[in-house]
Amino acid sequence: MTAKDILKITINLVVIYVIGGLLLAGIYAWTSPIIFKKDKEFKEKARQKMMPLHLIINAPADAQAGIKEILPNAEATDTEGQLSAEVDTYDKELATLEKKVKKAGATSVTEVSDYATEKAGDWEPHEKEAEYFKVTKDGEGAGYLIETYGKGYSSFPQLLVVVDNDFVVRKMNVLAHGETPGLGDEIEALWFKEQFRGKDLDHLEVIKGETKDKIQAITGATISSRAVTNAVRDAVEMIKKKTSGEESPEPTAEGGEGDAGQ
Amino acid sequence: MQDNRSLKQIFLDGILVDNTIFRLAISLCPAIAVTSKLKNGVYMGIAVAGVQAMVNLTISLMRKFIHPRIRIPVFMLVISGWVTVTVLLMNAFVYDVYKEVGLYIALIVAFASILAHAETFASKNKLAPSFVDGVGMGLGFMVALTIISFFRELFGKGTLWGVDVLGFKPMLIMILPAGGFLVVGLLMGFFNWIDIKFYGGKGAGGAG
Repeated sequence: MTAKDILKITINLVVIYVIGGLLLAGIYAWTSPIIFKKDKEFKEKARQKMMPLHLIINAPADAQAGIKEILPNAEATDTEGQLSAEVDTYDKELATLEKKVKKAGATSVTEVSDYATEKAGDWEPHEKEAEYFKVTKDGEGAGYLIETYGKGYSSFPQLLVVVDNDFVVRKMNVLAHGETPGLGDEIEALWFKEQFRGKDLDHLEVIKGETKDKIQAITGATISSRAVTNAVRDAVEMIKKKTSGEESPEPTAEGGEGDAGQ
Repeated sequence: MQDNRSLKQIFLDGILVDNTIFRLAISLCPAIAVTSKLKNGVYMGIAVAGVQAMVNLTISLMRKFIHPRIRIPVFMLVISGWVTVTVLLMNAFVYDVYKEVGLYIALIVAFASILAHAETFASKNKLAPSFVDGVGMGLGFMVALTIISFFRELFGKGTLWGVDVLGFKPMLIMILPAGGFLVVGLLMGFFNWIDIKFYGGKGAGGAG
């Protein structure tokens, strides 16, 4: 290798890396604000959808009967040709529902939420950064929304949990996970998620085999089922501890029920 | 080392005779990792086709300028640069899709098929044939991923594009890695059989 080669190689690399770097910097500068905004929107939307929603449906009079068949609790609102229905379900099911309603003749479907969330603090389940929120309806506290992680078979499933003021789970949803496709990913299934509705700390326990008042494990994915259940229980325990500390600062406040969970 | 095939021939060879998965049998690892769902397979295929075409174009543009001793690091830079661009663009403009397949997109950096074509084709050919070769190879890869993920999702989950079509899960093993090898192997055999039966085996092993 001659000095000329070395010089050429150096110039080659410098030019290529500088051009590449500039290009990447330009594209990054262009896209990162968009990504940041979409990330925020995504999280906000995911949080909104944890609470019951009103669907405001605009539909011509002849389509309304068909829509009421799909959403039996749909009611006419003050505006003519408009129906409102309360739904409390998960993303995928909600999307299917909206599609069905549109197919039945609705001109537009809008999601409206009565609930607001306000960040209440941070915590660290399995050393991951997570947030929790206070949920309010018409200015009054309606419960808490907690982001939590569990230690699964091949990932840390990320969950959102809503509890009411009595620390009973109202809803649990899986935001992201990397569990085994076909086995562990059943934690996303409707029947599994629905099991958490109405469970309190004493009933958040995985049972192999049929159960109605505890959590039934997924066949072939006990570790994933347990991970999710433990994550939910951690979240409920955490929020119970934090809020009981806030409302009554005396150290005795944590006695009784608080210790039973340990 | 210039390629004398017509543009149309280069394009078609990329999809059929030199199909990355079924004929060259490279980049099998991602072909199995991402194909448990049809949706992932298709989006991955589109991303690979885009990156492959752009990489070929860039390398061909620079082919007279790069010193042969540093061509591999330069190829890697170009590939990872275009992959990063793809990741950023997808994250910004097809956010929902990126949520699903984002993790796999970054893996394109390590795809043997892209580096192989930068080295064997783009660095030796003019702009137009290189671009066409990239598009053809990329589309071939996409077609292969689509076929594989179609069968894996259908038999493993009973669904297609997330929509339930069978109502039950005939063979769970299909979405596990073992099933991936099985599907790739069977399809490879099938394409070889077609080749031998109808084309007398001429296409086999076109480029090693």
